[in-house]
Amino acid sequence: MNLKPHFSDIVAGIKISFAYKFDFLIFLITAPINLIIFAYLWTSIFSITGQEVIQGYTLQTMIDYFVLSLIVSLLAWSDVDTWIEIDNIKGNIIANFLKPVKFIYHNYFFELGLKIVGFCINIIPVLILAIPFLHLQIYSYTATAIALGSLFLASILTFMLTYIIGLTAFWLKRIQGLRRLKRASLLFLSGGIIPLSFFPVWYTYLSRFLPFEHIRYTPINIYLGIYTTTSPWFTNIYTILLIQIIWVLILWYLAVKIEHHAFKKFAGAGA
Amino acid sequence: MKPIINIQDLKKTYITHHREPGILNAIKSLFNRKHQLKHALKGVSFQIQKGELVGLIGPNGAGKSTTIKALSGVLYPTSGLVNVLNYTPWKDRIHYVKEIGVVFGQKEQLWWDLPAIDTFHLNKDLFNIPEKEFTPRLKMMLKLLDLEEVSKNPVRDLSLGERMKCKLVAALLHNPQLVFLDEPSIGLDVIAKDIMRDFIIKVNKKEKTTFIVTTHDMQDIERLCKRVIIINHGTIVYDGSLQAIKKSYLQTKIIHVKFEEPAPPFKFKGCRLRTKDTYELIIEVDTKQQPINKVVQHILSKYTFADMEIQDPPIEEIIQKIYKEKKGE
Repeated sequence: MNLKPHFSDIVAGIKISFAYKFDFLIFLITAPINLIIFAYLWTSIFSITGQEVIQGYTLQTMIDYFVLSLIVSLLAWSDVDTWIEIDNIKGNIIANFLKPVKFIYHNYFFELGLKIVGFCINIIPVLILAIPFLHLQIYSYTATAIALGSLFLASILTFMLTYIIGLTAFWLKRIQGLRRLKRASLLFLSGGIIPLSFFPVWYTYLSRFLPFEHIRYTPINIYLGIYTTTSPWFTNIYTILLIQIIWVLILWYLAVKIEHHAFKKFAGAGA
Repeated sequence: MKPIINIQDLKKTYITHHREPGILNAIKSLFNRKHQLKHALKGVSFQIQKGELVGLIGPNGAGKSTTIKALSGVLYPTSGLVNVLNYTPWKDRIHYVKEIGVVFGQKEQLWWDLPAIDTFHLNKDLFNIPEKEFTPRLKMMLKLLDLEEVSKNPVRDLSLGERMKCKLVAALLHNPQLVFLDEPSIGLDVIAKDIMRDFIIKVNKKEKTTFIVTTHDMQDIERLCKRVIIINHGTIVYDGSLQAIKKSYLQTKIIHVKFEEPAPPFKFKGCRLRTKDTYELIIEVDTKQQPINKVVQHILSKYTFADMEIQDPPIEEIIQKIYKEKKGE
């Protein structure tokens, strides 16, 4: 596989991240502000309820959860559906079809460039805030390394899910409603608003076999040591990683099948 | 010699929506949407040889751009056979697009937020262009199209004409064998058009690059093409030499003369007054009877006017004449 063309897309993503000075500066403070809001919110909830443990989480583990959730979200996000929709409506998608790379790879590597910059500029202020002030700690170096691997898979999963939503624009043209629905449900079902242990028990079982929790909840729980190599099969790291990999493969297969029909649908009318 | 483009009976049909104006109709269309089958191409066939510079012309919605899109691999046609450089464009897209260059005049093809020079450098990796070919070629193109400074500004800040010239550079950097230009002169001023036409001719002669150009501007065709394909309502109505078209259908010129005061009466040998507005005369000149420069000299010496423009008859008129001739056969 010739990586040079993909490198070109990564570089484009990196360069575009620096194109707007003000936007770049705002990026620097967004993550720390989010973190302060969550820390304040959960400190208040624990102090109002007077409980030391809520659904198995202490205040410290809850704050850890949200620090990690924020770090995961720096890599496990995707806007590819928005670009496909807009480029489809305006006809500019033609420019992407004229590149000697697969459409899916072009989008993935371009977004990877954006993610690299986004991650690098956000992670430093987040860690500066999280380690000394919010007492974030490393539970185990091995778990951290596995969590990073799981985070990589989570990032691909998010991209694939969003890419498939984006492909529907070839039929539906406007998919703003669908995109909002996806964003809200992914945030909720992946444990971005509250940890999934707050959900009904039957759902926590079902959720393990769906892709959603594996884009956020899974790498966090590996880091926190909730999933380990010695846990029973349902919370065992090997099972969880296998489910994540199977979902990447399923979504990859679906994306390739759907895109074949989507490109046939493209009429380029008025373009 | 085997043609590098061979198209047989190319058809493209797609579905579009149809709705009357008004809010009520907009709401109604949510429940009852009227679909319309649009036949963009109804069976187009032609061949093109290596090194040719062919003009593809026709009125709005004729099917020119659809043909270019199918030929450049971005569109799946409904049916038909297309062989370009031994590829079926939409099936072998990734390998095929390395061999061609495409400019869509009305589409964005450069990275909008970056200076154009960045797109050129990114294309170097994308198309795997060797360094020793890339640098001198880029330098030469930037100089010829006067883009050395402009290419360092973000694309979003460039004028339409500057963007068009940059798109042309991006399309030619990897030295493609075949180039499709879809309305490349749109938005360009007279000088920029001239520079671009010279550039295309130079590349065509030097590299034996084949060019297919769609345009509304007959001047483009006259300067660039020896062969013309006229397309209308998705079918080819003429495929032949420009010389033959000129001889048969381009024997008239249209002069628009604008006045600051009410337009005076006009009469001159070989000329016919098409319309007379209060402040404008539109004169049709039969160039067989009267050379255009004589008419211009006459206007210059007899009238005080605000503005004057010489045009070719619109492509629609040429097509009408071709249809009339075919009916007469």
